[in-house]
Amino acid sequence: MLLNDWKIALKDVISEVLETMFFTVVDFDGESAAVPLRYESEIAIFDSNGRIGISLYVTGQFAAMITANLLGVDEKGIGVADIEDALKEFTNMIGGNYHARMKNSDWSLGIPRAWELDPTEQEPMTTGSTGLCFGCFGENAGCVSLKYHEMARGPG
Amino acid sequence: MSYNILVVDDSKSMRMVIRKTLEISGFRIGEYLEASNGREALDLMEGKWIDLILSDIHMPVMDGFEFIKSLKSKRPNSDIPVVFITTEGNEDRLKDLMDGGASGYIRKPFRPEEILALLSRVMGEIDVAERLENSPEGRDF
Repeated sequence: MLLNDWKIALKDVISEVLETMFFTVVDFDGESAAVPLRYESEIAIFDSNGRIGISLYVTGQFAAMITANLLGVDEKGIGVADIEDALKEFTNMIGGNYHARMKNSDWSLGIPRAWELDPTEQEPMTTGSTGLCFGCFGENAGCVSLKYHEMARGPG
Repeated sequence: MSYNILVVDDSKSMRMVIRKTLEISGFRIGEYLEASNGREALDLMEGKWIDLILSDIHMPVMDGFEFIKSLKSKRPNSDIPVVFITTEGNEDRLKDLMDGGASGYIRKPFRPEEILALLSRVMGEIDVAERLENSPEGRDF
């Protein structure tokens, strides 16, 4: 399993990670995240030939909820830095578990990063533009995309 | 007996989750130390008595591979059990860690009972996981 069936693999991975450590259940029935997505995070899986980038976009409400669930605290007590840190870990677990399913020792997992999008960049996204969106408690919660970039090679 | 524990992870959230997992389980914690990478952990350990290290692998500055290599190269720190809590999915790399002296590893996402069962084995205890199951907090965990 590499790039084939990535949506099926990511659905499984996201569900497992959210249920186990963030005590949250999501569904993948929605076609789009119609609300603005406030946070972005990403992680890369790479080898000498290319790089798989997994990017995650979530709403502010969903990000705050899973952060509070992970830390076992009230949502009111958490700030943007807590959310970014929790999202980084969420993305790390998604990347790690996707990587494990690849069963190919040539690929390595990178270090995740997460950040709050500039208000001008906080836009609704669609399954068409990202590949996969998910909801929580009937609300759109986020989208995820997976892209493969081949390493540029010099002549010869 | 209580254990002095060092948790090494660049994620503040994960350090907090690990601490809560241990506390709720009734794992006997003496001093609880935190570092955000291997280099910081080695510096923090100077002159301290540590019974157990829980470490991530993928960290900036000094990752888990370099950390355990450095730790195991010199006594008395080489005797400290190190358990990795990681997203690493490459079995070969995990085997390298075990060959390098790790006492065990657990993959994220983890359930509290999984980490406690491993720590019980590593620390020679058998009752920590049972304690979690039997405690009122543990049932809600």
